[in-house]
Amino acid sequence: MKVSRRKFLAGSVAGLGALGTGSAGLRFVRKAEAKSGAGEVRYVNSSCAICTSKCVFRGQVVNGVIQRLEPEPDFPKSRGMMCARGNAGAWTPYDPDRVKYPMIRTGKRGEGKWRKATWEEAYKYIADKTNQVVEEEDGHRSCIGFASSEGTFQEHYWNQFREVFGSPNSLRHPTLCLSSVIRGFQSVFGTYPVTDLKNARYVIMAGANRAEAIFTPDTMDIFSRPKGSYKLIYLDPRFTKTAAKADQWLPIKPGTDMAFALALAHVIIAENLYDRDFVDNFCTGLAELTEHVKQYSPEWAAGETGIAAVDIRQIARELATTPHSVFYPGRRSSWQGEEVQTRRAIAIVNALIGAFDRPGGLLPATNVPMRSYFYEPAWYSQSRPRLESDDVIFLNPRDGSWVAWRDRALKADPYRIRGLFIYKQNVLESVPNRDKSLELFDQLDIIVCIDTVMSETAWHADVVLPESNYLERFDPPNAYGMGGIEPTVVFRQPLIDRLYDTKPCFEIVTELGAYFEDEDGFPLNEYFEGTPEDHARDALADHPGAWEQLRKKAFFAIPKVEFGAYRQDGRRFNTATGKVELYSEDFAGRGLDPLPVFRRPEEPGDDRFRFLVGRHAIHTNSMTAAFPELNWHLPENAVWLNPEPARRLGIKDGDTVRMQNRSGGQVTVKAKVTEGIRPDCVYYAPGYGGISPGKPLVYQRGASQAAILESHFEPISGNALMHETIVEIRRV
Amino acid sequence: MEATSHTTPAPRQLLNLAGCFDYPSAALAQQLNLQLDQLENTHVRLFINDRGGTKAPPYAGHYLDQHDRRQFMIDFSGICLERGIVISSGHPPDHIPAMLETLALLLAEAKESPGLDINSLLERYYQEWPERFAAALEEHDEVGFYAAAAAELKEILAGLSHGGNSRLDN
Repeated sequence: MKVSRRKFLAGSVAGLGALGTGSAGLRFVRKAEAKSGAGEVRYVNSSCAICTSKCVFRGQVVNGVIQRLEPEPDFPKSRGMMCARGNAGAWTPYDPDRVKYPMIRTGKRGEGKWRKATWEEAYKYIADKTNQVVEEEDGHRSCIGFASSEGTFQEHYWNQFREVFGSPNSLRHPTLCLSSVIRGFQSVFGTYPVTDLKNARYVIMAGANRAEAIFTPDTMDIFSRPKGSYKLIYLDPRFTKTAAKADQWLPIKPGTDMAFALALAHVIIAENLYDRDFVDNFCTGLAELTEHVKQYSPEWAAGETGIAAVDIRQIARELATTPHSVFYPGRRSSWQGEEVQTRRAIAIVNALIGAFDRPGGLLPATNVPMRSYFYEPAWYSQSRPRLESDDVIFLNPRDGSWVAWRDRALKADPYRIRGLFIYKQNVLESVPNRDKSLELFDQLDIIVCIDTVMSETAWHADVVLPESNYLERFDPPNAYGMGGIEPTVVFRQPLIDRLYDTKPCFEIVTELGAYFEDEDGFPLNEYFEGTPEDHARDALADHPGAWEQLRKKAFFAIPKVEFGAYRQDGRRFNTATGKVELYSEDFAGRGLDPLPVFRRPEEPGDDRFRFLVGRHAIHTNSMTAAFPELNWHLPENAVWLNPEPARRLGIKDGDTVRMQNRSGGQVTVKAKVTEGIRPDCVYYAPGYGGISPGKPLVYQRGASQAAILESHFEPISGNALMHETIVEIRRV
Repeated sequence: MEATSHTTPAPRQLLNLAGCFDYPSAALAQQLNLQLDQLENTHVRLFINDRGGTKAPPYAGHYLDQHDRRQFMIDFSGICLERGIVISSGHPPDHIPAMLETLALLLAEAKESPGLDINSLLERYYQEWPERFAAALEEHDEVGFYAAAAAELKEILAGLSHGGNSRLDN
């Protein structure tokens, strides 16, 4: 029965309004003790959370409202820059669609029926369901998986909660991001290095689209330099913004970067162009490498890569003979099945030209030393290894391997997963093959999601817990990605009071912990001590004045690293031999190729295409497409298709097309016919085609990458393979 | 402009209208002869989170045509600060129920505050959004209660803006 205006008035406004849950009289405002003046302008420094760069800004707050975020000019990493995404973040606390209160699902999963709950109700609901399934699994707490994402500075509290809860099944972002490049470079140099692009004179970037996949300071260092002060060679099947800024764009065939790198090594060694001093003194395995790369001539590589032999030879000579040259490692997602070995090949080329620990080269990612956050571990008699522990050779126990884990969980092999606790990771948009992820969700008894927005994953959860926005939070210091030539640590402090009924992760896990016990009946909340501010002070206790500097500037830096420390006699690299390993005994011992061996990638076939992923300049993966100020620039994504196949398939620019992969995944999306992509590839930007109606700007608009990506992972690092999806495309 | 005809308002009705948009109680559901879960679900869908976006966000700045929401919030927050009013519910300054309570307080104070220009306040902060807010609820409120409250709100604010406060005295 509907309440009419007549009935409303008959019930009297007074009577009905007083029946709300609040107390009588004022519910939403109160009189202050004393009046204060309007026009108050405050500046608060904090750090961005919209991408991994964590740039420090000066937040301008007027009358208690965030007016704008300005770059902090003294912050060494961002070079006085604040990107469009960072600027757009100022709006996020006021997003009318953000998650505001704890919510418990009342309809079917994904149906969108919720009721607002108190925190206590939500915690009890979670604990009752979880404790029940753990009991049904004979006390095995491994039946609950935990996912989380980098970027929040409170993720370590989430990891602590998982550990004291007693589950080994942790799933972090690296295997959807950069595990393979880390593993590849570590196997050669013993570190995943940073690059001194500020002083580089000759740079090769393979798919590292730094003009769009912004990573400060790298993006600023290279693109703010005057033309002619360096040369940039860029390899990508797609004409990106970086291609537009490069001196030479080489539309390489996907999956053949290793062939290109091996051919460079071939020329550099054959023509005696390698850095003899560096290789003789710091490397091991040159003889094996020399023999190995004889087969990989530029002429051979031309047939594999589509890049002319003359170009490869010239690039190899320029790279080896130009002072301060480097083959940039990149940070992006892994592409093809031989991903770790491809990164090894790139690292080996850098070793050959001595691009390590010298200006314009690679440098170990030195961090600001901080005291570790310590907590007591919990011990359980019922324990099992991670679900996918047999699938990945170098499995990081805290990161896991998302695709391998999900596919095991679907088969309950070797045991059943009953629940998933997710902290700010949009599983349904970031893990390849969304249909499989939804299938897993259907099998679970309990899904809990902590987030600031109603992501696709939150929308399909049973309980959604609202985290305070990064502009409302105090976050402990963080140095992840802040190492390198200018080691820095950043932190966050609130610009405004928390809006709605939201809490930071530390409070959430501490309070939730009170509803769980360890095996000895000890409540889990008692494992959490102090406050994030205590932890922050403690972390930097060895640096006098650092805390005060953080409060004022939101960053703390130690003196710049001097080049040459690794080139001292007797200095050992962090590898098994203590040397830079061109040949890896460690890999050989594990049954892996000790030197990178090129294996030709699968051909897509007639009128089939390799699907490419890649960033868009104004978006961070799936996170920002629903930001109004950014969505305005690109309301919907479109699939890039070369004119040659487009003509064959009768597809015109702007047509609606349907794409289907080999496992049945489908998307419908508009076509963008462009010369800016190879004829054998297609691409669209991330973040669109959402299935959360709670993100209205991208709900069913455009296509989702997670929906079309097939389920593949790379067995050395566990990284998801983002360029192993083959699709068909037709006009609809 | 001086504080004219709003010196003897009955702000109680504004307070109670504000209360209509609070999270529903069992007593309210009973009074309206509705199931509580139906009323709760409607409230969540209209004001908190829903597929396709919250249907009627309770934020005045969301319905502005002529002004920027951020500046609207900053300016209105400035008024609250000057008048010693604190938004205590964790909402942004343009939260409609909070704005109604603020108006109720200011109307009550108007007689003793000759410097308070209620007409300008009404014109700047209470005219641009009520019609669109009411229209959104008229379109999406399946139970009718919130649409009726918004329609009433629209009329009261229009009446105030035209200098009359007789409805408030009823």
